Amino acid sequence: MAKGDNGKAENGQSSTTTAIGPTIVIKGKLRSDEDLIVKGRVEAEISSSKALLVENSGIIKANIKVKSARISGVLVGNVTAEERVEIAPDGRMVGDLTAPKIIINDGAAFRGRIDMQNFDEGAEAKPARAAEAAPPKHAPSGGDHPPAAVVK
Amino acid sequence: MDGDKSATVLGPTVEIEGEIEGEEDLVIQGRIQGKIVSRKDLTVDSSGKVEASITTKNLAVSGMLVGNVTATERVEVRKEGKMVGDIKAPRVVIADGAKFKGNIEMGVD
Repeated sequence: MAKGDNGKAENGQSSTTTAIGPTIVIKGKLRSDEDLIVKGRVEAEISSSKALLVENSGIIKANIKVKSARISGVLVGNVTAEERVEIAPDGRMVGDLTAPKIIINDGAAFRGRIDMQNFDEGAEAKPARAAEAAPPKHAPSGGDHPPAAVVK
Repeated sequence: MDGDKSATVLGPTVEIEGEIEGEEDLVIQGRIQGKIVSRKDLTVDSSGKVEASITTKNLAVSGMLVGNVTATERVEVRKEGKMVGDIKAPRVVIADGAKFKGNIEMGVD
């Protein structure tokens, strides 16, 4: 089925890949379990269990949830990645980034917030462990919301 | 096959809800719900499931398609294809073995 991927194998992987060509415009919602290469314009919320590659000609305007992302084109929206997000030197992005590993290359343009979840230690899991290890120092004084760490 | 002409293949695990527009060949192996506008060839592969209104030049259905189709050239429901909906196109082919329910208008005049 990889016959349509203009046979370039640019990511050198044998797994299936969907490449959204430069003239394609998608609006709405997109879900996938294979690598996605965007060369066109996607105004669709993307959720994927695999990698997302926004090529130079690619434009994404939507929130995104993926395993990993590399942005060489334009992305406007919030990105949550399980593994990593990289903004290439020619990439431009506006939005918030949440991922354990975030790389912004020299030359890249970015505006937004960055949240590297496991900031302290390589603790992968949720703050469940942090609760016993050390209580968060930002205990809200008189805040009406209970500290998240206590709620298991 | 014809791997040299630019085509977008939406793989079997890709699901889209919404609108797709394009000026290149489009092959659908996953699920699409909504609307598709293409100025080239559109193929619904055998694994493809499409529920959409479609405007295109050529359409070939080997998978499942529910929706109305307007094509400027040709619509073909291939032998493994299933389609429910109306077709409006100058040329319509329904292959032996194909399943189809709907209206066909070839603009006979």
